[in-house]
Amino acid sequence: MASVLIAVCIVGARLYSSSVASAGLAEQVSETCRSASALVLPIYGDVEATENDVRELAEPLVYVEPVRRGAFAPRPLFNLHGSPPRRISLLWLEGIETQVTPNLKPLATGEIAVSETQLFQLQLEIGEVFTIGGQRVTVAQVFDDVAIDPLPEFFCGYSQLFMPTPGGDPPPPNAIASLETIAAVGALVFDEYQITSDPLTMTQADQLQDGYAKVTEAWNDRYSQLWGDVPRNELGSVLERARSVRTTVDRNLNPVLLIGLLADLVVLIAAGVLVARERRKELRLLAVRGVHPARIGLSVVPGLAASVIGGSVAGFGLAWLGVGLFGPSSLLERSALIAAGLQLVVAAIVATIVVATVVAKVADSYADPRRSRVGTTLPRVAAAAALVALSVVAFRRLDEKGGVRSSGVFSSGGDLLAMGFPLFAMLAVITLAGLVVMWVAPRVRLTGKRLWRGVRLGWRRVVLEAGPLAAIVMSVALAAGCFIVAVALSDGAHLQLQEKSQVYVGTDLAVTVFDEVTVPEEWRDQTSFMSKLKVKEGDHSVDLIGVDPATLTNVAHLRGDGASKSLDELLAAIDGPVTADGIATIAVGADAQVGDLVSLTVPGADGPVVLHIVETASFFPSKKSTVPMYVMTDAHLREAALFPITMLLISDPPDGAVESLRDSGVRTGLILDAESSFDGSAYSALRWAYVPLAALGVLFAVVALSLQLLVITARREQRRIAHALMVRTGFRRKSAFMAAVVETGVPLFVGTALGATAAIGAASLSIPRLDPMPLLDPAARFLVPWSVLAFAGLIVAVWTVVIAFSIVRSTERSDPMRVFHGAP
Amino acid sequence: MSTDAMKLMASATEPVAKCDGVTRRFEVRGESVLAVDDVSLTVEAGTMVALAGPSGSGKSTLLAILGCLDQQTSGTVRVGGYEIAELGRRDRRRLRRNTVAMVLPQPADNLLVARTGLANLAIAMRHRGVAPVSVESEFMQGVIGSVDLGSFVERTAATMSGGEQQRLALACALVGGTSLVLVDEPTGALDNDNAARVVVALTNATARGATIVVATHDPNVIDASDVVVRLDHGRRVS
Repeated sequence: MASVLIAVCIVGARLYSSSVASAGLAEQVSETCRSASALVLPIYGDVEATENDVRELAEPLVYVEPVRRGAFAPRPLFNLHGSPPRRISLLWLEGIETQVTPNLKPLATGEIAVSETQLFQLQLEIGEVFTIGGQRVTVAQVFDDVAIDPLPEFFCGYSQLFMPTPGGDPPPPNAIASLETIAAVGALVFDEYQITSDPLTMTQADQLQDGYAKVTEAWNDRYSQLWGDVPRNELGSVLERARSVRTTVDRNLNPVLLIGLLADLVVLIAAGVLVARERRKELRLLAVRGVHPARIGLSVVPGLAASVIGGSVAGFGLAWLGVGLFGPSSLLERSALIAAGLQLVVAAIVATIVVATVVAKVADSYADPRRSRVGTTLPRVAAAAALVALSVVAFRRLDEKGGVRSSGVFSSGGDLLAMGFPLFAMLAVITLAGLVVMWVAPRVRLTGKRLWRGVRLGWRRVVLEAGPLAAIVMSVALAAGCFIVAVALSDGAHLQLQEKSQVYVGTDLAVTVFDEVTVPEEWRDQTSFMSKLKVKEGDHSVDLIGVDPATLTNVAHLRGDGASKSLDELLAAIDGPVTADGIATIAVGADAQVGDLVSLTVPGADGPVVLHIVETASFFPSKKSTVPMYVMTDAHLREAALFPITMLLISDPPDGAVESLRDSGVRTGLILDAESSFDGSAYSALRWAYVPLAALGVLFAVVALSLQLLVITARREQRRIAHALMVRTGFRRKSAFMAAVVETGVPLFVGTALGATAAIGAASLSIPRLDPMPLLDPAARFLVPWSVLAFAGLIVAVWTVVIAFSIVRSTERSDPMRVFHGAP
Repeated sequence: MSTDAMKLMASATEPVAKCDGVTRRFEVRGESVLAVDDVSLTVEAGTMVALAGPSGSGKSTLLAILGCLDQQTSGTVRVGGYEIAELGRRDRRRLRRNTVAMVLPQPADNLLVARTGLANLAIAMRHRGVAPVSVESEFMQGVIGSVDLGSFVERTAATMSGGEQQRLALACALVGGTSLVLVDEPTGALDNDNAARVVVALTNATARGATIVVATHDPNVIDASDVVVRLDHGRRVS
């Protein structure tokens, strides 16, 4: 079992890291436009003459999609209807004809296709002829506007041609033309090598990047003097972000691995003691004969080797299977598998040496009276004190530096000590509790005289041996604690992302609109309008927000710690006429207090606008930064300011909501979607970083339950003798069962309660400090994972009943006469 | 202390073992129990010394002290010329390997029961750093003959009777050329017939030059001994 656990720890850590890297890479690739991370090799001059040379240069590329030829004329001039020259972009991409609706027929040289909006805005007609870059072109075909919510992956490299500008203006003039047409106006023709759509490991991605670099260097060597360098791509950034996720997770994995290996060491030592006990006669004979401990140790190696090899292989398989099934990605690097295998071989050798050494030491103690006593109180107290000190240092580091921090699309931080705080804190608390158990158990050995007979017997068996009791309680506590803290932290990361997105966007979807919107009837209960304006409070910019008190609660909600009152109460406070004091306003994240009057400089207003603060809040739907925000009714804001931006907030938006708005003639601007407003890297890193703790919890659970089984087995003979005697004094089956339930259940329940308490304490201290975006409201918060607690309680209850039943069954089946004669 | 130093300390003319005012006190649940109380004795080479006395008289404790398996609380114990209280862990182990052989009271505890008698003999020799010799050799035949092993020496120890196992254990103690053989209750677990054979084996071994200290309350063993040291409640009474 020890070998299995070691293998699971070592191989699991390696493979999990690899799995995280693959998942992080997949996430980053999916969040980046494939064209932006593609290698683009320009083909200048005579395309037919140059293309073969360029494709030859690109041969070393691996893990790329088949090459995509494209041509783009960014801004040639065109003359239309005698108006001054304007600029138009012409685009052709291999396969573009099938990417628009209706599909285009092949465009001949001199023919272009335009979208319906472009046709309307440029006031063109089918068949109309005009000149672009001196070339005569004919409007040959028209297609539906390309969907932009989201923009199809095919066009993502050219979003500027399809998306409205941030100011809400329609995209610039553009058209689709054939390669030949675009080439004739002096366009850039290129080959685009996108990352393969198959999932990649980090190693494969590195090979891809190497390939990009080699091909880029070769192209630059040949052509850069004539035409400049190959355009830059974002692959490097994509890989860097994926690596930063992996590094963050690795930093947290290391303390988990260390603790896991320490637990394994304890199991190894226990295994050594067990082997020595099993072969006690033989080992004592060797020790009495003065055989050197090293030779004694060597004598047990052949017997151990089979177990160690079997356990290691089984552990390797389990870890592989576990990471494959439960890891963030099932795609693992071959190098990680090989490295894990090599580490496992070393670990297996070390494990064999450890067990053999323990056996030799124990054997030597059979013959030599001057053996040193292991496990005195002082080292235990020193270990507990060291863990407490480590936890304090780790907490201070966490408090100062925080955890993984999100900065744009990058995640950074993940200090080893800071990230290890939850684990160190739990270890410290549980070790201290273990010391208390060791101290208390001998002192309560004779308590419980008034308890019912079965319960009393069970209780006295619980406190019979302080060492095993403390070991079981601590292992169960670590198992429960690790599992609970892992779930709390990884679920906490997910919750943080959701809550921050909701506050940032204000609801699920916020669309900036530039025209009056008639909300469809079926959307009425899930929409609200909000207006917004940047204004000055003295020298500082603040956000002025106008909300509709009647409908805002349909789309937004405010977390309890956002304000001392509910959202309804806050809105009611501002929903009234302007008074002599000023406009009733909620101050959000501002210094102003209730009753204060705030004077703002609002563009377009005749004079200062005076706000009367009637409520305060620390955050509010749509708050995006640390800039103070003042919230009033939309009507008051429009009275005070001329040019606010209007946003339509939609809760649980129906598919194609934005398209529907545009179809109704509404011009839209910035679109914020709560699901995709933040890059998930930092949250993924945080979530994945703490998942291995759950595995550690399972490991400790195995250790705890094995320890308990060992203790129960060791007491079997004693229990049978006691039972054989007691049944003659009226001890019934029910009492025996109750005794077994108490003997099994009390250490498990105490351990689980201890672990849960330690985990809740550690998680509640950690989560607010692990916030990847601390400047963005709302602050991260800890929610007690009741479902996990209930699950842990259920497992303990079931385990207790099953073991108690088996104890009673095994005890009752023994023959009293054989028991008294010492037969097994 | 190095082996060379030990050798320098040893003297050929010294008795094989000598106890002088040996006391052994145990702490049991906070109470002090005196197992051996100011016992002195000398074991000359080639003799069989019986430590006799009832159960709890301190025989086995004194034997364990002589066998470097326990340590006296006070007094001096010299074995093979070495003051064992002054020896380090390693040298005590070396003394157990080269100088002293111990035969435990339960016959099976002295053997690797899954191995044959011959294998046990060979292993015992190897443990003492002596190259195993052929079973046909004069030495082995002498040992086998002296303890009356007969043909069962080729059987596995597990299939032997208690008496056979005890004689095999005695042979294993003798094969390494040890200076002192310590035997604890060799007949305690045996019937009369087997006990008698063990007594003969002990006598034969002594006749071949072995020095034996045997803890016993068996009158036959006591009668066969050259020197009898009687213990009672830890004290030497004769």
